[in-house]
Amino acid sequence: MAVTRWLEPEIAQTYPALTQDALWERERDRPTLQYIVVDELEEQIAILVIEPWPELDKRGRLSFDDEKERLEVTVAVGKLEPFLHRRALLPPAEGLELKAARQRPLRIGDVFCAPVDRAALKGEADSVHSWLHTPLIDVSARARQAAKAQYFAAVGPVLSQGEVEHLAQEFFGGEPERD
Amino acid sequence: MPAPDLPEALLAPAVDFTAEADLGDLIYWVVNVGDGDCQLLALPALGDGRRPLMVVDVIKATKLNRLVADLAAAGVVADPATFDLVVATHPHEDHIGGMATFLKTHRAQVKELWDPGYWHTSGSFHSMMQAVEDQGIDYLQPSSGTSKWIGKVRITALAPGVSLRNRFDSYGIEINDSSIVLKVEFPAARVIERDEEERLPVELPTRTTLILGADAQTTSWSQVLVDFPQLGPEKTAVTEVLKAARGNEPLDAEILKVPHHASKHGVNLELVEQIAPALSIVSCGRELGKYNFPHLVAQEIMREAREAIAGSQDKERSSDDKLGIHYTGSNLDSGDPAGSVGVIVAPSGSRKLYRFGDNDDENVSLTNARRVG
Repeated sequence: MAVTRWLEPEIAQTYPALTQDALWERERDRPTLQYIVVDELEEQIAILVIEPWPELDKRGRLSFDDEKERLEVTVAVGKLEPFLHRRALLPPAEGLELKAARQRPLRIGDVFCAPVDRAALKGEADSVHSWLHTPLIDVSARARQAAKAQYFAAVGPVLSQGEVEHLAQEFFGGEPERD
Repeated sequence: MPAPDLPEALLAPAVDFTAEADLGDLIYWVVNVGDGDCQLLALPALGDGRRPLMVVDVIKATKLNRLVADLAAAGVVADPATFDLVVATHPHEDHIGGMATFLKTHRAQVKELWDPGYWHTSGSFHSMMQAVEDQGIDYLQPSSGTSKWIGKVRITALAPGVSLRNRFDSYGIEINDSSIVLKVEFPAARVIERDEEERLPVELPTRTTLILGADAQTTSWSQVLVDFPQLGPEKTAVTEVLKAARGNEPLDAEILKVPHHASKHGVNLELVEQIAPALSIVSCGRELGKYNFPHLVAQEIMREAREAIAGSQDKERSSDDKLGIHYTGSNLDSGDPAGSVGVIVAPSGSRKLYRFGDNDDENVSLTNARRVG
C-alpha cells in the first residue's frame, strides 16, 4: 500500500514546478526532505529539531519515526533567519501579505519542509547553505493546525463526518466553518 | 559557568542504594541526562505495600526505563512498576524527547498524564499525544492550585497560572512559561484520628516540600508570587489565619529543582529567598551545552539566597556543596562524573543525598550510591 506523506498533494498543487522538477519522485528513492521545527529560541540561538518528513497514518495523524532519526541542531538566528527570508516559499493564503510574511521573525513552533544534508550537519551548522537546501517551504500555519488537531483528538472526542454533517444541519443549516 | 567539581572527600564509599530507604520514605532522583530533564519519584508505599511512581519529564526513555527495571528487580518498586502520575512539564525536546517511548513501554501501567496544553509542532509532541490517545491515558491540563493526593503525598501545580494558560491558544506565551511547576509535600497528613470517635486537624511538626521548577521563567514566576503570596512579613489577622489554614508558607521548600537548568531567566533572588531551599539541584550537562547553562548570574542568585554576603567586602563565598547546591553535570575533583542525584526523604524530614557516578550516556547503577556529606 502506498505511503501517504503529509501535505504532499497540497504542496504539489501549490508548487507545480516542484513536481515537474521530479522532486517528489526523487524523494521516493532517496528521501532527504525533512520536517524542521524551531523548538527553542534564546539569546539569538535557535534550536532546531530535524526529522524525516512525516507520513500520515490511517487516521490522518502525522506519524514520525520515534527518536531514531531525530537531530537537534543549534544555529545562530542571525545566520538562519536571512537564509529563510531569501529562500523560503510561503503557501499563499487569503489575506496574507506574502512579502511581509516572508520577512517575519522566527517563532518557536515554526516548521519548514526542505531537503537537509545530514552529513554536512556534522560540520558548522551556522553555514546554513551547506546543509539546508531548496525547495524550502514554510509550512508553519499548517503545522500549528495539525498540532492543535492532534492535541484535541487525544484529550477529547473525535467526531465522525456523519456526526458533523448531522450537527451542522441541525444547528447551522449547512456545513460548519473549519477552524 | 560549568558545573563546579564536587570534592570526592565528601562522598562515602559506594553502597547498595536499595537497602538505604524504608518503605515509608520518599525517594527522589534527578537523573543525569546531560542537557535536559528527567526526574523520578518513588512515593511512600501505600497500604498494599506498593510504591507508586511519579515521573517528571523524559528526555531519554532508555535510561529511565532501565532505572525503573532495576528498582523493580531489587524489589524497591512493584514489578511491573505503576506510574500514578507522569508529568510532561512543557513540550520542549529536552523535556519530552523520550516521553512517547516511555509511555508506549509502560502502557497500562501509566495512570495519568499532566501536560500544560501548549500544542507544539514537534514530532515528539505528536508522538506523545498519540500515545495518550491510543492508550486511553487519563489526561489533565493543570493550572495553579490544582492538587492531587497520592497516599501520603500531596502534589500541587504552582504554575502555569490561569491567565497564562488561557493564552496558549494564541501562542502569546513563551513556551517555557507554559511549564508545569510542581510542589510536592510529604507527609501530607493534616488529620489525626485519636480514637474511634475523634478526628482533629493537626499541623505536623515536620514536613518536607519539594518544588520542581521545570523551565518556568520570570513571567510565570511573577504569576506564582501573586497566586501564592508570602504570608510571613505581613503578620495581619488575615495572613495569620491563612498561614494556619494552609499549614505553612506556600513557597517554603527544603528541596528546589532549579528552574530551567539554572538559566538567568529561570530564577530571581526574591523567589529563591522565599523558597529558601536547603538543597538545590540543577539538571545540566558537564559541558556548557547549547545555552551555556548554568548561567553564572543564576548560580550567584542561588548562592546569595543561601548566604547573603552581597555588600560585605570581607566575606568569602562558601563552595556550592556547602550551600547545598548540586549539579547533575558536576565531576568529582578526581575527574569522574558525580552523576545522577538521589535523595531519600524520611517522614521525619531527615534527608540523605547520594550521587551515582554515571555519565549522561550511562545507566544508573544502584550499587554505586555514594552518600554526600
